[in-house]
Amino acid sequence: MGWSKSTETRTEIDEVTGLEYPVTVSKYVFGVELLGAALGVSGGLFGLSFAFCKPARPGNRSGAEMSLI
Amino acid sequence: MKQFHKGKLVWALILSVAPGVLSADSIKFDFRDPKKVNNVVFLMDAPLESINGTATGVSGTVSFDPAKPAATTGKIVLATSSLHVDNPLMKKHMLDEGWMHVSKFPTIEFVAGKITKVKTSGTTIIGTIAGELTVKGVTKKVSVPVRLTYLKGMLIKRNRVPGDLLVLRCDFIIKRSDYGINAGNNEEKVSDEIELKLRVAGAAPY
Repeated sequence: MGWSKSTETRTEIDEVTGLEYPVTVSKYVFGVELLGAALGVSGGLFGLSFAFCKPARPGNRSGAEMSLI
Repeated sequence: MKQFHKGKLVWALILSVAPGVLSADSIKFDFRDPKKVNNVVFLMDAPLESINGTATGVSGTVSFDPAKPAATTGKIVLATSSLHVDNPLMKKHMLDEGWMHVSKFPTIEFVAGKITKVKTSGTTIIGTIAGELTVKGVTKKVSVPVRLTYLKGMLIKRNRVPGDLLVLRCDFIIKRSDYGINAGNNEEKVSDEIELKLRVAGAAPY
């Protein structure tokens, strides 16, 4: 997997001369830098989720927890 | 006086006909190619990254004599702006001032001098072509292996025009440090050695 690409180049062969030549078509291909960025953002959001997590208090126990006591 | 004029006329005729006679067997091939089949592939294999790209802005002319392939001469020109890699940011950097500086150096040129070590097999001629390569305004003498294929009368199959084709294949390596292409920098990502693969065909309509 390489960097992101905005074009894709494939090779074709000229029938008369036998020459290989590049044909470039517009096509977006996701690369490693976007994968890295996505992993970074998801990791950040995961870390951030702990900041908004309500700490469990004895008085705020749920019904299920109370039934176990 | 009459004799003098006759002499002048004869010399004028000889001088006007001589160039045509001397180059009668040499065919001039035009390498302009609107179909963009003519191309140069460049490969750079650095420790951290492998980069490959293409360029299709080829033009130029080559004089080729099938009976004397060693006397082949000509010039192949590549428009620097046609250099292409698939990553848009990498392409921008490549064409910018730091690397190829396209606005200042719009062409890469190869002027062919002569072919040595010629071996002919049917329509194919293999040899070593000596010439001068100019990249970023730096001209260096190079000697590179070449394979020519002379396709007599085959232009009609390609361009629907009667004529000949000359196919030229050439693989060689240059160093970007020799031509001042951001020399000494980023060698872990962009190798100093650039492998070039030239694949071009010239047309000579009758």
